[in-house]
Amino acid sequence: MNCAKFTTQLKKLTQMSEQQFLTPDALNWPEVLPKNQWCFSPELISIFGSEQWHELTEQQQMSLSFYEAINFFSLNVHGEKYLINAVSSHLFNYPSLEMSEYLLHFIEEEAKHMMYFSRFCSQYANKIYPLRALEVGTPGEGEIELLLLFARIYIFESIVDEYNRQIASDSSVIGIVSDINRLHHLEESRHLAFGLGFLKYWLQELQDSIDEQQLLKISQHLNGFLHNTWKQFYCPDAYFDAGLSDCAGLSMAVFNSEPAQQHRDKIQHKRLAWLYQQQLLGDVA
Amino acid sequence: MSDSYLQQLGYSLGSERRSIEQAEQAGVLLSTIQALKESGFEQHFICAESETAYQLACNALVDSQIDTAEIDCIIYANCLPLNANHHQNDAFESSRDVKDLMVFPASKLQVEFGMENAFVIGLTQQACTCMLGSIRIANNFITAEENINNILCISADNFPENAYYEQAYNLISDGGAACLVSRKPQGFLILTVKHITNGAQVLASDDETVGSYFSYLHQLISETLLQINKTVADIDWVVPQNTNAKAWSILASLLGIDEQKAWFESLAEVGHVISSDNIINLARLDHSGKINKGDLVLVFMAGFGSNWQCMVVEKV
Repeated sequence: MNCAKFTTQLKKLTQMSEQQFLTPDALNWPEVLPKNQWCFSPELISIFGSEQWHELTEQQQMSLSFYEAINFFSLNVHGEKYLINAVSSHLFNYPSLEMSEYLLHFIEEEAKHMMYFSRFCSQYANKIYPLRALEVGTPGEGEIELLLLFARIYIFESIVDEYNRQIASDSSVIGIVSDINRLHHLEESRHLAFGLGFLKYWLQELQDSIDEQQLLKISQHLNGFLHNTWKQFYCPDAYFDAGLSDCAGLSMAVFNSEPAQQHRDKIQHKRLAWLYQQQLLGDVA
Repeated sequence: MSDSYLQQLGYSLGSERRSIEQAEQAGVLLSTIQALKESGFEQHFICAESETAYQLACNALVDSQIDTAEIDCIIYANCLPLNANHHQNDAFESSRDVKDLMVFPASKLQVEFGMENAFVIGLTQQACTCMLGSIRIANNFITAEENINNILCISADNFPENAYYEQAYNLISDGGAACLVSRKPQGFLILTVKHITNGAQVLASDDETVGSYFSYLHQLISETLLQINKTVADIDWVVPQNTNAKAWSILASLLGIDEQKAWFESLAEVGHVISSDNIINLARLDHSGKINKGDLVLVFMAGFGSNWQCMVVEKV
């Protein structure tokens, strides 16, 4: 994508953000959540299909679904906090003024998302789970780091969006949870369109300055980020709150299991196909 | 003959979710709550006051993540002709200038999403079937013109203020859909699309429409399969529109198709999304992980006019 095309896209996305500013006011927050309903799509619960899953009663599975929702929303709070910090620190130093102007909307929307994610966690669980991800060092700086920053954001948002889509359309999930996921998906679609547009444009700009060695480092870094992102979906805190035992061991065992790997592969190869095509993700030596 | 592929299915819904009970309180239903629930409907989505059909189209396009820089042609389809004009009629009433009746959303979409190499076609005479109609035209363009590689098919409709949100006993949602028809071998290979119009039924009542539903769909599906030398036994999945769930059971019985092959799991959630719901269902079938490479999918839609369209695609 060339600069002119990307600028056109930025202007349209800016206009859409201005015209379709969704407020969370319309969300209908129940005072308490019923115990006998799903708060997360069962198929997306991290231990779904495992031996431990089958040992739980349906009531216990539903209880776990509540804590998986708390974990998912906590991840979103942390992810968006990181994103706002990182994106705002470069504001008005981006390749174009239009990009900074769009990113002001992007940041505003992310802050709004944090409000409903954090409200859900604090209102119904009185907690936000802490971030357990390891900080990963970046192998680039300047123009390369800009590529990496938006690639990391794109990876995180793409995975979250797949969950948003599925939960928003799951009629077995309680209304407030599906509505939050639906609202988030609607605005994240714009963020993903921006992210992919920027990555296409920026990779084209950098094509002469990225050699094979550099590409390998980028790929190793992004694979590591992807791995760490996924690890956070297998949350020992959530298992503990749901009354499961050996929570850290369970997290590790399920994460390493074949069905969990297949679940992640399916999502990441579908949603991150372009990164794989460009060898920004993929098998690394 | 070049192959063309249907891919990158995206959709959008009006931003306000409303239960059937709330819809009844708003006075937009004709049937009883019980009758609609028995038909499989539970809720619907409507546009907020400031939301337009054009915005639904933009949202569907963004949702599809189609690279607009590659688009050679835009086929912009609306069920309701009034949604094919970006200005509302009151603009003309005050200006008396017919230009206000020709503010084409497709042109707006072209420039706002940077598709300057694309030419534009509008479809407004095929009612709910127009999305399938746009795919048929796109498929034929790819076959006929070697310089055309990527076609955006897009549809969006928003019911006008004060309209009933029920048509032919179906609960309606405002919404849109977008997809790419391309030479790139991804998604679904388009095998055929067939269209029947019976203009004599242009003023058909809801009951007359329902009355002819089964006979026309039976004819349409049989003839579509014949075009590609297939039978119902070859079909792995059927993606209908989101109309009364019992209608599919009856149709399945008439056609001799296993009812379990139908995929319309969005019925309760989104209702009948005018011309977009079988794209929603096809997208969800694709995301479900249940469809396999080589599976044949039959997609059909009935609409006022009267129009009947059917498409068969193969998962690649």
